Amino acid sequence: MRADRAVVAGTVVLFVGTAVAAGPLVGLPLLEPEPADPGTGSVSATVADPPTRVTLEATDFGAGYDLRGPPVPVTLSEVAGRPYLSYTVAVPALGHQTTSLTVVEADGRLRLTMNPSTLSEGAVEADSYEGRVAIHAIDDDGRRVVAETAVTVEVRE
Amino acid sequence: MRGRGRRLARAVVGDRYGAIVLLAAVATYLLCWRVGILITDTYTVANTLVAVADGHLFVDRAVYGTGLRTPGMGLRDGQFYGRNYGQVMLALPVLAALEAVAAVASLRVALAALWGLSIVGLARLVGREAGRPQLGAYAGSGLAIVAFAAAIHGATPIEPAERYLVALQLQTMGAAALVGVFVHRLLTRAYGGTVGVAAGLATALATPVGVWAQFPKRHVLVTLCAVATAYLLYRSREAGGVDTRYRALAYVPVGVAAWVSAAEGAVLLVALLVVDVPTGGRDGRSIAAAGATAVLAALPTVVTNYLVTGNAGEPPRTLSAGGSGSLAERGSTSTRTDGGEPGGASGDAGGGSTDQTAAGDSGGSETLDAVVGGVEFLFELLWRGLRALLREPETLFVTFVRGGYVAGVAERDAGEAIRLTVLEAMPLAAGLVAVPVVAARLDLRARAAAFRRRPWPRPSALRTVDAFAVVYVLALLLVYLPRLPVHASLTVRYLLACYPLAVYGLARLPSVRRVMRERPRLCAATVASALLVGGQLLVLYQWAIDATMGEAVQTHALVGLATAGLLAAWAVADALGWRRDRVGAVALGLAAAAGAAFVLLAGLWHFAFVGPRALPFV
Repeated sequence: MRADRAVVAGTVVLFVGTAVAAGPLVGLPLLEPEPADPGTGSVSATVADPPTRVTLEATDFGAGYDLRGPPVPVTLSEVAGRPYLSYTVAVPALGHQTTSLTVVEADGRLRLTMNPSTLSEGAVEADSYEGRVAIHAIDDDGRRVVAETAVTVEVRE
Repeated sequence: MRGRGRRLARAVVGDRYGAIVLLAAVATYLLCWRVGILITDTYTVANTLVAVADGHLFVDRAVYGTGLRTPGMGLRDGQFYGRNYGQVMLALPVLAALEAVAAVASLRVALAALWGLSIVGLARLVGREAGRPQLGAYAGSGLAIVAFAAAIHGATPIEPAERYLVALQLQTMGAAALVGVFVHRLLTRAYGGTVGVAAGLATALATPVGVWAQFPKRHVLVTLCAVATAYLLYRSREAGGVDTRYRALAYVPVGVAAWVSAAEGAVLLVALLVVDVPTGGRDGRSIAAAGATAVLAALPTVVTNYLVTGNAGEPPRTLSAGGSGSLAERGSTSTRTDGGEPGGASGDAGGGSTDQTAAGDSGGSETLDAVVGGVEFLFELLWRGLRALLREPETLFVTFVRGGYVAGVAERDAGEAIRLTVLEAMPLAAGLVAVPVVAARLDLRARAAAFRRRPWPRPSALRTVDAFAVVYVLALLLVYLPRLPVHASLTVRYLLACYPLAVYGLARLPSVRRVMRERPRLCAATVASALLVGGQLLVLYQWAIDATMGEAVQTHALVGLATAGLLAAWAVADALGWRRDRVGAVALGLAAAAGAAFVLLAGLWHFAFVGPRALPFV
C-alpha cells in the first residue's frame, strides 16, 4: 500500500473511530456536557455607573437610524448556571424598545453591550428624545431590575 | 457491491470533476451551517417532519417553536396539516440515516467527521488533477485532522430533538450541492471540462444557492428540480434526434417539484411543455412515454393532496392560504408600535387562494374542479404579473438592480435593510447585459432566411435548453413579480432558480467561454486573492463600524454592484469587439468573489442569530 493511501485510510479510521468512541456504545466523554439552559441559575449583579445617554445615529445607506447604547460596566458575583443579563433601551415617544440578552457564566467585571437596533427614517423628527435604559437579571428567581435610569437619546445625522 | 456504489456515484456526479464540485460545495456549506430556523414557516415544515416520522400526515407535536399555529400550518377537520410534504418525505431517508448514525456514534462528532472527510476527498481529487496526488493526500489529511479536532473541542452533543431540523438542513445542503453538479454536467457536455467546473463551482458557491443551502425552504429543492429538468432536456436532444428515455425522465423532476410545492411544479411543467411539445417530434411512442412518466411523477403529489386536503387537485397549501413567514425570532427582540404581524396578507407561493369550492361534497368532479381552478389560477397569476410589469416597471429596478432601504419591506425585516437584489446577490449575472449585443451582432439576414425556410430544422440541444430557461425564468418572474420586493427574502429567494440559469446564460456567451479557456488561472487567482484580501478588508470594515445587520448586508450590496458594473462594462465592450481577455478574467473573478463573500459571511457571521454553528470552531 502506498504511503499516501495509508495516510488517508488512517484519517478515515481516526474520524470514524472518534465518532463511535464518543457515541452511546462507548461513551467516551469527548464532548462538553450539555450546558444548562440560558436564563437559569442565579446571579448577583450591580451597576455602579449607569449610562446617561444613548444615540440615534443615521446609518449609512439611508437605512434609517441605529439606536445604540454604550457598554455598561457590570460587577457580577455568585454566578451559578447560565443566567441572563438583559439590556433594554426604550424610546417611548417613538414607540420603540429593544432588548439584548447576554448569557453570563463567571464572576467578575463585564462590559454589557447591546445590539444596535434600526428605526425607519421617517419616524425620527426631533433632535433628541427622552429614553430609558434598564438592566435586568434573569435567572431562576425570574426577572428583576438591576439598574434603571432615564437617558437622553441624542440624534446624530 | 463496490461496483454498484461506483455506478451510483457516477450516475449522480458524472465524473471526477463533478465530485470536486460536490465536495467543495458540501465542505463549504457544512462550514457555514447553523442549526436553527431563519424564517418562521420552517417551524411548520420541521414539525411536519416530526409528524411524518411518527407515521401520520397530521401534525400533533410542536417540537419546534412555541405551538402549532405557525405560518403555513393548515387546519382541516380539527387536525393541523403542514406543507411541503414532498420535501418532508424526501427528508425521511436522511433522518433514518441520522438516527442510525446516532445509535452507534456521537452525532456532533459524526458531522465533524463528515466535514473532515469532504476535505480529505476534495484534497485527494484536486491533488490528482493537479498531478500532485501525494501532496493532496498529505495536506488534505493534515488539515482535516486539525480542523476535526478544533471542531469537536468544546462542542456539545446535538439534542435528539434537533435531529429533524438537522435532517432537513442536510437534505437542502445536499440538494444545493447537486444544483452545482447538474450545472457542471450540462455545461461540461456542451463546452468541456473547464467551463463546466467553473460554472458548477460558481453556481454552488458564488450565487444565493449557497446562501440558501442551509435553510430548509422549498427554494433549493425546486431549483434543483429546474436544473435537473434542463439537464435531462439537454440529454434528450443531444444526439440530434430525440432520446425517448431522457425526454421522459425530464418530467420526473417536475413531479418532485410539484410534490414540494404545487405552484412551483406547475410553473416548471408549463415551461417544459411549452418547449418540449413543439420540439419533441410527433413519434407516438415517445409522446406516450413522456406522458406516462409525467403522470407517474405526479402520483405522489396527487396522493398527498388527497390525504391532506381530501381533494387530489388541491395542494396542502390551500388549507393555510397565506403565511409567508417572517424572519424567525432573533437574539435581541425589537418591538415597535407599528410592528409587522408575521405572515399575514401576502400569501406564499401561489396556490394560496385557489377557489375552495365547498370542499367535501362529492368525489370525482371536485378534483377536476380544483385542477381546473388551479390552472385558471396559474394563468391569473401570470396575467397579474404582466399587469404589474406594465404598471409598475420600477419594481424591476428594486428587485434586480439596487434595493437599499425599502421602507415597506424593511419594516417587516426587523427594521433593517437586509435584502439584496438579484444583481447585488449575484454580481456575475451582470455579464448577461451583453446578451442583446451579442444577439444583435449575429448575422440577422442569414437568420431571417433560415427562419423563412420550411420545415424549420429541429433546434439544437442548447437552443432547446435556451428556450426552456427563458420561458421558465419569465414564467417565474411573472408569477412572483406582483409580490416583489418582499420581506424575509434576503436574496430574492423566490427567484432562486434563476441564479443557476443565469450561470448557464453566462456560459452561453462566447466571450465568457473564451476567457475561461484562455485565462483560467488568472481568473482563479483573482477569486482567491479577492476573497482572501478583499474579504478580510470587508470583515475589518464591518467590524470597525460595528455594522448592524442591515449595514453589513448593504456593504455587500455595494461591493457586489461595483464588481457587477465592471463585469457588465467588459462584457458589452467585448461583444462590441474590444478583446481584453485579462480584463475579462479579472472582472469575472471579482464578481464571483463578491458573490462568494456574501455566501461565506452570511453563514459565518451576519446571520448568527439563526442559531449555533453545527461545527463550532473556536
